[in-house]
Amino acid sequence: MLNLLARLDVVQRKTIYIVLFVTAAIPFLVPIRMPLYIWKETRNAFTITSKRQPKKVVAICSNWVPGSQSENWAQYEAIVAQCMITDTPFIVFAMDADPMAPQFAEAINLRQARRYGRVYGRDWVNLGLTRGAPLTMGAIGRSVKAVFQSDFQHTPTQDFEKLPLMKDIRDVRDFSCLWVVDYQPDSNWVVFLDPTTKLPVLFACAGIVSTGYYPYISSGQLKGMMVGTRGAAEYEELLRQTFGKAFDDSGMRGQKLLVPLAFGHLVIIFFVIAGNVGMVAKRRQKAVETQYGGRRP
Amino acid sequence: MKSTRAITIGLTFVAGLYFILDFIVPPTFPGASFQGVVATTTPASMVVRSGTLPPVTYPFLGQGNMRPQILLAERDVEGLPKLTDVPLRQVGPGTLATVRIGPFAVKSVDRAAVVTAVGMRVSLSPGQKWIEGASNEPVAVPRPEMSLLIEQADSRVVRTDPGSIELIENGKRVVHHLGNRTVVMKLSRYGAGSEVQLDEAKAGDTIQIGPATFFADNRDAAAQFNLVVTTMAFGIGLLSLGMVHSRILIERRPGWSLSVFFFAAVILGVTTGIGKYANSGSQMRAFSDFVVLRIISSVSSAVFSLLAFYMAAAAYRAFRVRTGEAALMMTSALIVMIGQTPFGFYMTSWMGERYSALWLPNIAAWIFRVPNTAVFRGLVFGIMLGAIATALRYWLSMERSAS
Repeated sequence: MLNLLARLDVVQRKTIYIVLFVTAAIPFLVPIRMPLYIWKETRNAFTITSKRQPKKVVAICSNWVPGSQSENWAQYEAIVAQCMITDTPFIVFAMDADPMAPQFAEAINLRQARRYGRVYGRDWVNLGLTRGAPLTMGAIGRSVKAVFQSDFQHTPTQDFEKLPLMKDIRDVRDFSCLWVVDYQPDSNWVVFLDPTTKLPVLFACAGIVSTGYYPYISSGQLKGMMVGTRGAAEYEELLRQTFGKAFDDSGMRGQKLLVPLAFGHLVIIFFVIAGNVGMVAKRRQKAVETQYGGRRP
Repeated sequence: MKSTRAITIGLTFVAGLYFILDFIVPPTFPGASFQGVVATTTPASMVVRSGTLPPVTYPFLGQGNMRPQILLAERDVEGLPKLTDVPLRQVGPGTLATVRIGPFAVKSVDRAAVVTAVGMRVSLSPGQKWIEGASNEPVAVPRPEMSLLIEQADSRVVRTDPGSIELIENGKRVVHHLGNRTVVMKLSRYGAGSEVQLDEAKAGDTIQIGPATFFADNRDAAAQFNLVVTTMAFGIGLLSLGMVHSRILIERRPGWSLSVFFFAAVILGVTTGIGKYANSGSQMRAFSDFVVLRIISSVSSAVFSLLAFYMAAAAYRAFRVRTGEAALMMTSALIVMIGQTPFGFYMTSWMGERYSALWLPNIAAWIFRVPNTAVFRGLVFGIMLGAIATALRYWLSMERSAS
């Protein structure tokens, strides 16, 4: 038995890879639903975004690119779905991101718009990419149209016929909240966009970097957060609880990816425990061998 | 070469100095500023004349959309004319400006006057015209339920009166007449103060007034400078890479075939980038979307997903309980990992609401909010001190690589 356990000390890498692959693949083949616990940060973010204020828009800084799509795609789609169900207009832009970021965001905007019958220019505007954080963040706060003189397809933001939504958007006071969807959102948004700190800032980040944002949650500078795929799944659950059948969850990724992720976590935990059991067993095996002069008893 | 270095050092120093002073220097001159609680305000006003027509006076009152908006004609980056909204303090006698009031919804029309949705009676003064809010086009006869604006285009400012404000300073009431460069800052308990227009300052607000400093007024110009420099850096990077790879190709150095891929990737990237501006449904747009959403998306996520396998193997090797600290770290890591998944809730929710503090997700949340926050704050302080020291070295050109 001791020999068997000692073998767990050195499990081959390919064994871990195969077990992880097979385990994570199971939920894709056999749909499994699991109970969800909704974290306070996610609930707060949902409540703030739900508070529709007249003549105000939800501002979304969507910086994510395919590398982090397993987490950020689901998060962004959940936010867009919420805005579109509640008929809350929103603007989306990218800051210091990959030039492809606005295109990814727009693909999701169009998909959700088809579901909820929303129109570009009236219900949302994609302002494209800009650079120069954190100074540009402050400039957006002072005048949106000064920074974004055209949308991502070069339609001037002063062209209110094509972009009627832009008529009421001047500065940060016309935002109801700011969402930053990125693998690792820039915490400068908290400081530079609105120096009066009245605007609620919400982050949607990857699970692995979320630890760095909890000090901002504790201090109240961040009003809410969506953490990784878990956060997206919780957000989808809140959408389902609030809007019932009005929320069309087909193709939404949060809950779909959460179960494989949970299975993957279980595999890692299993191997961590197994590695430690193996290490202890090997030590004991060595002690026994030493006791019996290098021979096995 | 020496002069180039001197120019670089000088520019870096001046730019750095501006950004530092921008943070340090307050928006109003400290010696000439006053702070107190607002008692009363006398609104600002502006007199404007169109050609030889009689002048029109615009009072600046806090009535939402009925407050005049001053627009100055400028040109955007593409040289197209655009109107920029400016505060009253940025215009003076002789300034050519367009003044707009609205948009407001029309409830009814009575001869030459319009009754707004909130019951306000509005009529045109000399030089003014009705503009339809939706189309931005002039309207001869307004109709009910129309969204309207009043516009007096391309008119000269005759004079401006910045108004006055009565402040309670240390128990005394003092009236301050505002100047053309006076900034009114509304102070709040949390965060920095924000600039407001005079009519936005209400009785009871704590405000600070004083002449504007150079820095706060030029933040946007500084931001644009920053934007241009950052964008230029990308261009220079691409140019530099192009030069390096063309040299490899011309000289047929080892691995020259990879340089061909570089140019192919650049051409593909540029074509895709141009294609995204094409109209939805066009072939160019379809090509761009195909490359970005089908090829790049799949390849990037496939590469990124390899991390999961590496992380699993790394966790297996690294999380070995050899010391007490390692045991502590592993325990908290396991709690956080299980607590973040539905399994954590599934395993502990049977304890009921009464013992919800012992549910794994709640223990994981406590680890994030308390010990993690404490440690992270210390870490960030340390990192920031190091970053300040490094930034100072760069700013003063003391860093070797800067030369």
